[in-house]
Amino acid sequence: MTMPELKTRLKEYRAAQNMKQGDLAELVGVRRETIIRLEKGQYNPSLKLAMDIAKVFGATVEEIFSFED
Amino acid sequence: MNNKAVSPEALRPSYKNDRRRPICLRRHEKYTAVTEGFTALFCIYTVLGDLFHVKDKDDPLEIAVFLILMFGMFVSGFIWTMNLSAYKAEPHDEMSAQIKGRANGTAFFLWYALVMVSVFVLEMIKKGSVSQILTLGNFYMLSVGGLLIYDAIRRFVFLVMDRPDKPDDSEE
Repeated sequence: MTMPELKTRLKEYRAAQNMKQGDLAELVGVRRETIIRLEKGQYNPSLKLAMDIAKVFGATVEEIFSFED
Repeated sequence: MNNKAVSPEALRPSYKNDRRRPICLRRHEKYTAVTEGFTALFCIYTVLGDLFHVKDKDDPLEIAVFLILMFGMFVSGFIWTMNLSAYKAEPHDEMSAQIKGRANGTAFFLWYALVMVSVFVLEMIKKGSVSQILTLGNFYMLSVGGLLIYDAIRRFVFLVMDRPDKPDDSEE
């Protein structure tokens, strides 16, 4: 069974807020590398991190992250 | 930063209120790995010195080796201590925790291979040297050296696994 591919609109949301990767990283308490990999879909965030990021943008988790089979 | 949608719940007050500058997690890992590496070499040198009698300070070559190790230990330890005392570490986020977990396994196999190779090389150089080392009173130094080498390998493996792809690393 293959893992579905993570699709993210994180970059769009971040750009809309004129926010840098480092700023977002600091807000949610992770490293910038984590944000970079999240935006590239290379890393699956935990539920807590996904919710923290969604809170920052005032959006829902599903609006930012989704899985594609 | 222009972001009015930020929720206060998402902030990390204790981290943000700390006025010390953060030290990059990768840099912290590098300092620790180098410091541990030198300390481990010093421990091993102490043990092997007993075995091969290389602690004879009359030999200029041995004095040079000893001084290089001591100097490396001093410099790396100094940098490490200064950075830890002056800067707070970056948060150890969940991705780094996952990578460290994976690095543990790899580091164990690398360390085990290193030990086995060392055993064979030592036996080739001097027959019965391994059993001689184990009977020495410096077994404590050997154990500490082994642990430090394992941890240094673990940190180097982490740094390799954590390396972000360069082209996409730049901020737009």
